[in-house]
Parts: sequence; structure tokens; C-alpha cells
Amino acid sequence: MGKLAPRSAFAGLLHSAGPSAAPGVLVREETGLGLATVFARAPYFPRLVQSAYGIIPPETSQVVSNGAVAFIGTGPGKWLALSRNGAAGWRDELATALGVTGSVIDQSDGFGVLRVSGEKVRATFEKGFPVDLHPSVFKPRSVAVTLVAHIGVTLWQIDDAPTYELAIARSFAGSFAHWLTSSAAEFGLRVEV
Amino acid sequence: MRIDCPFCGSREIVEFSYLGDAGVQRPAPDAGSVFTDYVYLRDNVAGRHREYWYHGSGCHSWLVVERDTRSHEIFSVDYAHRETVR
Amino acid sequence: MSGRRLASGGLINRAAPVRFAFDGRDFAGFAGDTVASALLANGVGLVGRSFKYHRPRGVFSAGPEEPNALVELRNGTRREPNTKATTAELFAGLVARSQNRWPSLAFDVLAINQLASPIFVAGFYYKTFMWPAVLWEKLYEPLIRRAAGLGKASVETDPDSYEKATAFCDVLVIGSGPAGLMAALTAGRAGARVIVAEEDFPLGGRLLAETYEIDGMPGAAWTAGVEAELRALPNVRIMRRTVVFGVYDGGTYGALERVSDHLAVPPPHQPRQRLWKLVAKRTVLAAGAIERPVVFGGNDRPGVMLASAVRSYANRFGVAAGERIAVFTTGDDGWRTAGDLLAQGVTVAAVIDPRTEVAPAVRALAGGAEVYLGAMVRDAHGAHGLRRIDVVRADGSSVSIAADVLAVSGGWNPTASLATHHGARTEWSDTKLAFLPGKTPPGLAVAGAAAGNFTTAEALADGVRLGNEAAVALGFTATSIAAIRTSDESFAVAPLFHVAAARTKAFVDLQNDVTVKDIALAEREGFRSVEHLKRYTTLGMATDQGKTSNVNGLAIMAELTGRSIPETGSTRSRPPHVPVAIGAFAGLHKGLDFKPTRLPASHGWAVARGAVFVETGQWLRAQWYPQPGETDWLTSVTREVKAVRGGAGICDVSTLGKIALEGPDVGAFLDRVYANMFSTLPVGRARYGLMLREDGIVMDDGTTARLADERFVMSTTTINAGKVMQHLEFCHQVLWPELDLDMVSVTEQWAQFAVAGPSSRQLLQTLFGPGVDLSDAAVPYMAARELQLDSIPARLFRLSFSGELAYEIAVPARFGAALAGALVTAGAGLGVVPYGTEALGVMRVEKGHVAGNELNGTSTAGDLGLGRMLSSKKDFIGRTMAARPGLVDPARPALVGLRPVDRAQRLRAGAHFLARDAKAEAANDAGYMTSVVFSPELGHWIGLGLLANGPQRHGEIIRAYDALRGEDIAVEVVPPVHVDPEGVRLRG
Repeated sequence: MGKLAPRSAFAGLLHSAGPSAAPGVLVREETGLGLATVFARAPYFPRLVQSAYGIIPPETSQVVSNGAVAFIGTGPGKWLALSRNGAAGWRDELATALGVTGSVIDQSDGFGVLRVSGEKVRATFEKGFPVDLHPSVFKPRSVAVTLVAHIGVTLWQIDDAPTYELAIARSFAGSFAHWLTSSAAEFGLRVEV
Repeated sequence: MRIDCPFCGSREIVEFSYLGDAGVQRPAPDAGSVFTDYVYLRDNVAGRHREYWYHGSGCHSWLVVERDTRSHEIFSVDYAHRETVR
Repeated sequence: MSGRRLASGGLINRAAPVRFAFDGRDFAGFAGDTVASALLANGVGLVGRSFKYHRPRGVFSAGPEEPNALVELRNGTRREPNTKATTAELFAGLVARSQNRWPSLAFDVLAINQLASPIFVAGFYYKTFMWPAVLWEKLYEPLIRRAAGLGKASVETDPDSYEKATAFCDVLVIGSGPAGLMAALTAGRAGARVIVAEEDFPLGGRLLAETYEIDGMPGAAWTAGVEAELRALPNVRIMRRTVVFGVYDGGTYGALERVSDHLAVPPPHQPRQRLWKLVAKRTVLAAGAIERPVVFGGNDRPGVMLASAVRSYANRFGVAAGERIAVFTTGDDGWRTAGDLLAQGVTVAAVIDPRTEVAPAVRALAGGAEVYLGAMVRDAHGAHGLRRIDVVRADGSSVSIAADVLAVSGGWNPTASLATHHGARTEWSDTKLAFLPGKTPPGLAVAGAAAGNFTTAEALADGVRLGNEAAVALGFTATSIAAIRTSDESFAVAPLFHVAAARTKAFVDLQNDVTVKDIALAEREGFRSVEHLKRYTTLGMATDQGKTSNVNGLAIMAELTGRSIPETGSTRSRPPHVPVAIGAFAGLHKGLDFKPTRLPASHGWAVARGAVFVETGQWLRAQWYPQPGETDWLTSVTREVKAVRGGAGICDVSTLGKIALEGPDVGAFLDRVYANMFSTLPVGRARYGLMLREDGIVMDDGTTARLADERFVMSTTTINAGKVMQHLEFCHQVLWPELDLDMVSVTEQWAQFAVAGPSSRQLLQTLFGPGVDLSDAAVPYMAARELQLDSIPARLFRLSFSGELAYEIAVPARFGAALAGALVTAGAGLGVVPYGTEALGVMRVEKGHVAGNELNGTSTAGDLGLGRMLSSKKDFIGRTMAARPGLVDPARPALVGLRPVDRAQRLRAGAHFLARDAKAEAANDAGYMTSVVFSPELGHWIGLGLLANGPQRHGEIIRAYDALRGEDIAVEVVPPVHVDPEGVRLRG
């Protein structure tokens, strides 16, 4: 048998829309990420994370990153652990590092991740996100797990630009892309590769 | 209605599911007819009421919310497991 | 009535003429006009016919309270009925039509309804159309709908889009008159995040319609200065054309932004309207007030208008509403209409005031016009437009005055309905002669005219005070605002709600054609409560919700019953405060976007193979895969089933819920949530599990596999995946937090395919290659394995839903589409077919497996033939209650198989079971057919059903009675497993 060819969650689903001259919103699918749901099961869990990755998992709805690895707080004692070094081996690497102090469940294929930025990103997100994204409230490192157009979304802010990343359950990718395209079209949406 | 989830912050009611009276305690398996009360018998409180809510579209926490059923004023929100341990 | 454009003045742009059409005639207006102001400027006084009596009606107001001037706007798919001409902005090419007239506005055949007015009295629906009931649908309702009613909706699909959005702020300011502007400015200067929502297209509220000066500037100029400062503040957001229509819990406000209603067609990618949820920590309601008319005879004649509206048209739109305008006012404010008209050079025919004395400064506003003090307008005359009014003096003498417009003022009603949402009530003030807000919704304060503080100075001061209070409450520092110089106009007013001496029909509610006589009749018939009065007479209903009629109606009822107005009470105001299009509530979610669609990884692959899809909850699943030449579903499904049972088939089962459970206590946990035992499940094995609700009814079923000592994966039905997750988290977090385990859904992580049929092992062997041992010894029935497929982690389960030798194989979802292709390739020589949910269903019914149709929320494990799965060695959810006598009664409907006695007959799901000789009535109902399929294996229809005493009745002939289809056939009761009852094949 030949190798099975992978297909990313948003493959073929993102399309530029609206005015193209100076697009207000830029979107790009982040592929090749490792994702895992991690639960803390013992008090020394944070220390093991720190010794492995140099970061302490946040206890609130925040994201902490060392550049390559990020712990995104999605619930009490629960994180979405993200690696920019790819999905292969990510679950096993984490499970080895954490031992019995944590549960690690592979989700690298469970979500599609989008990176969204641009001058009109907040104006676009207002049309779906029921959470306050004003810069005085939602800042770089803030995280929200919420519903956008009836679709579950995990959102975290990367920088002040503002740049955001969003994780959307894979099966909803088409519906989410439709919401994003419809909502950003008036400002111009450009899909970056 | 908005509920101030202890993990996620203030969120719209659409993110939550309702279960009802948080005052009931699951009886021992051999408790007999007490089980019927546990499953079916609820007070229809007009006023302050402690009730279970589930933040299914957020952090997946089960919460105990103390709410005035007449005005929807919310007095407190806490994790249900913390209430159980108490 | 012959209005005209004044030579100068107004806030319209006279350099920008705008062409439009009304009832097929072309007119010109200016940018800044409304449809109403442009019609008045063109001398059009008659704009519609009334609801019941088809009486001619004209423009009554200059705002959202308009009861009369409702028009159909636009053509074709964009036709919108009941649009208020008084708020619709004029745009080039606008097309409007009058409503409720036939054949023409000037000559309306149904105006004959007036002659039949005795039958259109209060409660006429209830009285006239009671009997016989059979005539309702065929005769009464069509008749009423033709005779009464408002405009006609377009029946075509709305071509425009709608959006929904959410915005957050510290302080929401509703309205942008003097109070709103100052509240926004003070809160904004203090640093609070402010949203100003203004229903109109410019900011300013009444300031645009009055001639008062603020800080030495005309109101519009002063407004422009404040607006400029607000726009410069980054923490202030101004939302024009946005009406707040409801107050909801937790500081949430519903608002509608009319994004493109003022344009012929929405710009590209822009919605027509946007529905907002505004979430505010504090709110200042500064929605102003609506003038109250006085009720007298013929007060619905075109040309009878609110005095403030006449002022609005003169000052804001540069329009004289008529050539000879009389003013009938019970308070000082109405005199200002006379003053403003005289200043514009318009003839004032007379000023009539029931008070015998007015202050000299007020009297002076009438200039040289005739003044009648201690007098009232008794009746107005003129068929298609006002021609004269009868004025009656205190001594009973009367005089007839020629006028084409009568400006009426009976005082002001605060627009406080938003302050009464959330269960609050207004309170009557005898000094202000108005209902004022009492207790308000949490976080909401009322400023200016909306609070009954009608003067500009009071409004400005209220705005500053409440803007600061809101800011300070949120931790900001109060800002001081220099005193603002303004007039301190008088609002003294006398109580007069209706003129009892009226000789002609006197209308309380213009929109619903409710007269004083209707209220008197309601009173005589006992409908004295205000809520009864409203429903019985329809007073205060429909698009204007009685904004110009409610208080007069109450006052008249109070008078009739000898009670005071507060004793009479007021109707409760509920959201929405103004009509909101359903399309706006739907937003993006219409048609195929009604709800999100979930697609499995193989969806594109299935599309390419021509699959027909079915909705399963939010999922789209392949239902069958028609081959060329196959024209009906049964042919395709039968072929798929035969192919699976004869060789191999693959089916995407990724949509089933998958929950990962990890931790030392998973086994103990599963023992408590499943009815059967799981702690004893060996690593590498899967087991079928049955989950009950606490009341003893079956909740869900599925298989759970133990992948490692502390690592399990559970499967649920597609439909119940979310519900089971919620239930398990309740059990863990609330019931047994001491158990050490974690759980998370992995439904999305794995693409999973059933590979079924006698050749399935061979197919998988080809896929995995010879290095993987798939023998029965290595992968026995109910085995669960983690292995690698081309260095991709994969899972292999030996499970069978079809009764054949079968497996389920799972890979990370990114490889799902490729795996589907690879499975077909691997099975090429084995006759492999992809099969859909229909074939899956056929095979499960053939095997007697229960599914959603049988797990119907009322069936017990015993009912489903699974009673022996209930473990007696442990406690579990539902155990105690499942043992209740009613749930173990052998007479309960229980699972059986069914076959038609005449094998050529078709079975119908939903058919009810009857004993052979029983009459077809509910008392004899013995259960029903839950699932039916055509069995390719047996060559006839078979079914599953829940039958009373079912397991004891195998071999009996009963009837399956389908009243909906008129079928009544004999069926044989058989064991539920129709095919391979010994289960030989699945162990193949």
C-alpha cells in the first residue's frame, strides 16, 4: 500500500472574499501542529512541565508559550498543549514527560487551527464571538473557549496587532469557514498560505 | 442571562445547560423509596435557588449557581465539585 | 391639506434632490428627508387607509410612534409592508405604495365597512365569528383578512443577508437627545467605554426639531459640536440607525441596526440589518418622550397631527404641513408650534386651549393668531383631508374654523417602556400627567424626557448627573461639565384626554380603529382590566404598540369606571419595543446555514463517489451510494447489503461519539455509569455497554475498549454523544469527584470505518501487509488493538453491527479520506463496496440490534431484551429505579421481530399492534413497529417492534395498523434476530 496522504482540516475551505486591495482580515491555516488535551493529576505536574519546557501551565484562561510549545488553559486543571514541531510523537513525548502526574490525549487531528489577523479582525469577530475582545479586557495570552455561530471555538491572542489563533473541531471547519468568510467579506478577507 | 463562570468569566446563557436543584444528594443504592424522591421530587422555588449548571460550550465545568428564580439575579457561582467536597 | 416645502431652513440638503415614487407618481425630495416629510412637502396628505373601516388617513407623527402612515416600501422580493413613512429615509429611486386600499387610495371600495361599523365594534371577532366553527377556515378568516389588516408581505425569498453581533461596553446610552448626549459625553470623558445607540439617522433627538438655543447655538449646531467630541474619543462608539428594542437579564440589550435600509440595495457584502446584543455594565435610558394627542370627533382626518410633529416638519425638514394650521393644545408646549410656524411665515388659523388662563409669555407665541381659551376642538371635518374644525367654548357655544392641519398636543408620554421590561412598572404622576419609570431594570437609569424631565435644561442636567453616576460606579473619576446655557421652557399642561362632546367617531387608537365607543362597550361588558381592555378592543396592539393611544385609552377607562388612572393601571410592556424582522433574529442561520454542518473526514471522498447524504443531528452521513443505472434507493441499498454479506463493505462510522477516559479509577467509574461490568475488562478487549438514566430507562449504548490498564475509549451513539459526555462529567464532577480519572471527547480526532463482510479480514490483511497478524487467534471477536499503519498510529477493533465478520479501523482524522480510498483499493479483488447508513440499518435490523428507534426514552433494558446485562454485583446509575414494579412488568411492550404474513406486503414503521380481532382504538394498543427494512437476505420486509408481552408471543399472528396510511395488515411475531440467529458468521 502507498502512504496515506494527510489532509488538513481547512484544506480547500478557505477563500478570499470582498475587497482585495487592502484586506482588513488575513487568515492562514496553521498545519503541522501537535495538539493534546492534558489534565493535571498530581501536585508536581507544573514542575514537570516546567522542567521539560521551561514554562508553567497557567491556572486561568491564559496561554503560556516558550515559542515552540504552548499550554492553553481550557478548563480547571485542563490544557490544550500545542507544539509547533508537528503532530508526530507529540502525545507520546508529553506522556513521557508527565508520567503519572498528567493524562495526555492526542488531539492533533481533532482541531483545525487558524491564525487570523488584520485591522478589522475585532470588527469581524464581533459578528460571532460572544466574548469581549476589547484590548483592555482580552489581551495577548488571553484564552476563551466559547461558541461562534453555534460552533465551539477555542481562541487565544498572540500579540497586540492583534493576531489570534483559533482551534475549531475538525468536522465544523466548513461551517466555520463559511461564517468567517461571510463576516469578514465587507472588510476584505485574504487567505494566506 | 449571563453566568460568571469561575474559570471562563461572564458568559451568555446559551453556553450553559441547566440541570436543576443542587440540594439533592444521590442516596445509597439500597435506600429504596428515597430514590424516587431523589429522581423526581423537586421544590418549585420562587426565590433564591441553588442549582446545577453545566458550562458545556466552555470549560465543561459543572457549576452550582445560586439564583433568584423570579428576577434571574445571580448571587454566587462555584464549581460543583468544590460544593461536593465542602 | 396642502403641505409645501418652505423656502429656507431645515436640516435637509437642498443641494441634493432625491427622486422617488409613491403610488406610481414621481416626486422629488431632498437628502435628509423621510418618506413622510417628502410626501408632505409635495402636498400629499392622504397616505393610507385604516385597518377596519378603511378611512382615509394621513401622516400623524414624525417618528417611530406613527400609527397611520404605513407604506409598502420597495418592489418584488424586497417589498416590505408596514414601513413607517415617518422613519423611512428617502433614497434615490425609492418606491412606496399606500396600503389597505382597493382599487385606489382615493376611492376605496371597502370604505363601506364604515357603514357596517356596528359589527366591527370591540370584540367583534369573538362575537361575530363564533359559530359554526367549520366556517372559520373557509369563510370568516379569508373575509377578515381581505377586509381588515395592514400591508402584504413579499412571499418571495428575501434576497438580502442579515447579521448578528455582540458588543460590550461600560455604559450604554440609549438615545442622543440632550440627555443622551450629555450622559455619553460625561461617561466618555471619564474614560468609560460608551456605546450611544440612536434610532434616527442623525444624532440630536428633539434638538433637531426645536428652535431652542444651547450655549447660544441652534440645537443642531450644538449637537454637531458634541458629536465631534464624542467621535474623537476612542472609548466612545456611536451607533446610528440603531434601535434598542429590549432589556434582558445580565445587562444585555437587544438592538437592531438598520445597516442598509436607507439604501436601495445593500452594498456588496453588507447586511440589510444587523441584530446586536449589547452587554452593558450600566445603562442610561434617554429615549425622550412621545406627544399625546387628544381624542375628539373625526380626529383621524388626514391633517390632524401631533403638534410636535408639525414642529418637526417645519424646523427639521423645512416643510409646512399645511397652509392654515390650527393648534389644539392642553399645555404650554403646543403653543410653541404656533410660534415656530409664525416664525416660518405659515398661517396659524387659531390656537385652542381648554385652560382659561395661560402665562403671557406663552400667549405671546400665538402672535396675531386667533386664540380660544377655555375651548376645545369637538369635531374635525373633511373627507380626504381636514377642511374645518368645530370649536366648542366653555359656555357651550361653538364656532367653525377653516384649517387644513390641526396640530394637537395633550402633553407628553415618556418613552419609558424599556425601563419597564424585566418586570418593572411605571407610576402615574399627577403633576406631570404621565407614567414615569418607577423601579428600573438592574443597572438602568432614566434621564431627561424619558424620566418626565421634559425641559432641555433638565435633560442636560440629568445626562451629566447619570453619565457621571454610571462612570463613578464603575471606578472612573467624575468629570465636571461647565454649566450649559439653555432655555427653561415651560411644560405646564392640563388634564384633557378626550372631548366628551364629540359628535362624530372619535378614535383612541388610530392604527387599530378603536373608538371611544369601543372602550365604553368593553367597560359595559366587563372588560375593565387594562389587559382585558387591550385584548378585547385591540387597543395598543400592532406595529405602534399604542405609543399614541395607550394612555388616552386608560384615562377614558378610568373615567368610565370612576377610578383614578393609577387605579386603572397600565399594560405591561414587553420586548420588542419596536417590530423586529424575523430575518434579523435568524441572521446568517437560514437555509442550509440554519445550523452548522459537521462533515466526517471522508465526506469529500463520498461526494466524489456520488453518495446521497442524510442529516444525523448536525452530521451529514452517506446514506447510500447509487451506481449508474440505479434509480431508486432500495435497489442501491439492497445491492450494498448483498455485497457486504457476500464479500466486504466499508462504512464511515466516525460520527459515533468517542470519549477517551484515563486514570486509575476508570474501571470503577465505568462500573457505576454502565449497567454491566467494565472493571473486569481485560486490556486489548472491547465490551458492549448499556447506560441507564437514573430513572431506570435506557440512555445510550455502545462499546468501550480498554487500550491499556488506565486508558479506555468509549463509543456512544452519534445522536447522544454530547448528552453522554455531559452525563459522564456530571457523574465525575458532582457525584464522585473522589475518583481519579480524566475524560475528553476524541470524536474529532479519529476517522473510523467499519469494514464488514466475510472478506473483511482478507481486505485488512492486504491493507496492513503480511507483517501484521490478523488471525482469529491474534485479533479475536471483541479485540481492541493499537497498531501502526504505514507508521501512522491506528486502532483496530473487532466489532460487528452487521453480524458478519467485521472490524472497525481508526486513524487520525487527517488520514481519513485517504484511508477510505485505501480500503477500497485493498478490497478491489474482493468485491468491496462503500455502504451507507441505510445498508447499515438494514443489517442491524436483520440482526435484531436495537438503535435510536428502540432507545426511545421510554424503553428499559428488559424491554430491549437486554435485562440480563444489569449487573447485580454493583451499584450503577439507574439500578434502583430500574427495579420498580412498573419497569419490570412483563406486560410492558418488549422487543420482538415482525414479518408480514403475506410476504409481499410492506411493513410500516410507526404502525400500531393490535390483537387479530381487536377494534382499532387506543385502548387495544399493544405497542408499535419501531424499525422496518427490506431484507435482501430473506427477500421480504422485516421489522422490529415493542409489543406487550412480546417475548411470550413468538409465532402469534397480530395486526400492524397504520391509521395514517390506512393500512391494516397481518404480521407474525418472531424473535428479533432475523438472520444468522446462532451468530456463526461474526466469529468467522
